[in-house]
Amino acid sequence: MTLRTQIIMIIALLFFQVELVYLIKKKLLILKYSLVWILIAMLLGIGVMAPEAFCNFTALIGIRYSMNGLFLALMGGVFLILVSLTVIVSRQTLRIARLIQRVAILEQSLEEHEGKETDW
Amino acid sequence: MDREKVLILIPAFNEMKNIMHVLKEIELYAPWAKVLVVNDGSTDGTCDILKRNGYAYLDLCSNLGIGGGMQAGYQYAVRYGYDIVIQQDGDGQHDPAYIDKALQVMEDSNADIVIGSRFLGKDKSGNQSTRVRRWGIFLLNKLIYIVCGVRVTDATSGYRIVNRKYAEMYAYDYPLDYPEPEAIVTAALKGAKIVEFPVIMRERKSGSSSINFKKSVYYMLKVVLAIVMVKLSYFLGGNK
Repeated sequence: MTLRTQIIMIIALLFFQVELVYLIKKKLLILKYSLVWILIAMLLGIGVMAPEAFCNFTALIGIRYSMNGLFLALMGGVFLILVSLTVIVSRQTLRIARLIQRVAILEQSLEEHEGKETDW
Repeated sequence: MDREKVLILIPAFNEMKNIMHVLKEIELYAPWAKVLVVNDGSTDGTCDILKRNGYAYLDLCSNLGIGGGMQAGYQYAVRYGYDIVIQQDGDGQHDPAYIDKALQVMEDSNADIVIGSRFLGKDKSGNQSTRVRRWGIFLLNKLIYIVCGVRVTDATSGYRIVNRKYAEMYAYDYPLDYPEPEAIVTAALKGAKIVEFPVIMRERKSGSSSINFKKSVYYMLKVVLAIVMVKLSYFLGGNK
């Protein structure tokens, strides 16, 4: 990796981090859901600043060409994000269901109560 | 058994043409029971009919699927202290004439859950479903036996009677879609005594089933996976 590429990538990563902070500040992204993105940005930062460490690591786990290791790492990152998104969607689905059920029960109880008051 | 503590739960999604017939029949066979219809986000005026005729109902503002609707009903039952919950479909397939018999079976056998099975009796005159579906049900019955040692003959039957202990469990934990086989496994793994009794199921009074071929394939995949996952969770997490 040339120095120029390294500088461009570091700047891009910095922009990415700034954008993350902006989204969190504007409450468009909840902190706990940004953790996976921050983690990935940090790992990318380490990879950009110390590419030889990444190459040594890929060699250590038996990947001959570090480019393949890079693709694997990126796929792993995307996989991690997709799993975390699925977890979030599942949790929201259950919470929405609970909310709909609770609203229906409260509405029924309210109507029954109002009905009794009218009878009285 | 205190009959005032019996709640009949009827999930209904777009059952405008059937629901009144079902409710009238229940009034005939179980006038002592409290009946609650769970309107699962119907768009055909089911809710208006219930309101106009003064029936108790829960109106879910969005369609949650039969499991989500049933769970809302179980939450209601627990909240208002009902001891027994009877599930009846809103399409008229379940004959309320069996309610007394079902309660008797529950009392005599000391069961926690009683299931009306269309395959148990000698009389096969009712709705026995298609051959492909019967095979699917047969496989689910076998899978349930392998996973939790409970022998059932109609794992997909929605005609059920549940006591308070398991109504509380279902109020907290009930599958959102295609819940019947999974609900058997969840309860059985918690030690529920499950007993079946023979019923004759009828054809839908009106309309058609929403389960087509594509949904049937999804149904089998989802239910098999869910049963295996329930067993796995139980195996890993113990009897909590």
